[in-house]
Amino acid sequence: MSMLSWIRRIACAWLPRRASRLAGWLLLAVAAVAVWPVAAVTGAGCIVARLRGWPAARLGRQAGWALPMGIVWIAAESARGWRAVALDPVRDGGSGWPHLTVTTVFRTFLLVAPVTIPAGLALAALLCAWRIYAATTGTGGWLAAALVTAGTVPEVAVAEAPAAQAPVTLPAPRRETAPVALRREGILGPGARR
Amino acid sequence: MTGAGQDLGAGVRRGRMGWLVRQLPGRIWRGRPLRLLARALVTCLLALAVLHLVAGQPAAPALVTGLITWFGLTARSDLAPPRER
Repeated sequence: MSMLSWIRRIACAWLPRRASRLAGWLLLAVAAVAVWPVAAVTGAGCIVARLRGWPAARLGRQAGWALPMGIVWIAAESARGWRAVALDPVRDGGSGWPHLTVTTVFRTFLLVAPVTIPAGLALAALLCAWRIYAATTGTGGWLAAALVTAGTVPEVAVAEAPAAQAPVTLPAPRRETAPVALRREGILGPGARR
Repeated sequence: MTGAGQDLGAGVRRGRMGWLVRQLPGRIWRGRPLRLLARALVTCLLALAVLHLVAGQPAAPALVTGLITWFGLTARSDLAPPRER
């Protein structure tokens, strides 16, 4: 295989994967910018929870306590008509873009805060719960929890042994190469090379 | 539940609420009154700022409600624990 074809093959396999991942992150960034008040509350909630060691349930409770604000907002908006309830957050969220100053950004945030604070905190609670799940299982959170492997069983026995009892001796790990194991299972014949 | 049971339950709740309200000045005094006052002042100033920034919008009463909720939740830490009856 020539060097050029090897590079071409690597690029063909590597580039689409990288490009799809980059496109996913870009899409997420665009969505975060579009709904920046929610993203800001979610980010702040995640950072505060991480720094202060809050569990995800606490963020969820905070979101619950922010709900009266949303209920009052819905009641006040419904006095203007139900159409305003659906359209006003979008209109208010986009109102700060033409004149981007600190005051307009702050005012825009305040206009949509009764909706974005409960929603952002709830989203932050979900994200924190997912992060804790991913860290616990060690699988990145996307897959099912990993099975307990045979290698961890002796360590569990040592950890559960009472202190007064004689120390549990760990069985020495049996090392065998794959061909030996396969030969033992009868998959490979005796003449197979290692 | 019977009508008499409901009346009894409501009466007990009212009595407990009245007892908590009667205890409130003492709990404030024995707690951290200056900190509570500072918290109340900050809440009032934030409410005024919100009313100034988003005057006439539906978000204004909602944000004031949020500030009052925040005050109610955090002010409990500045009160002394209630005395046992």
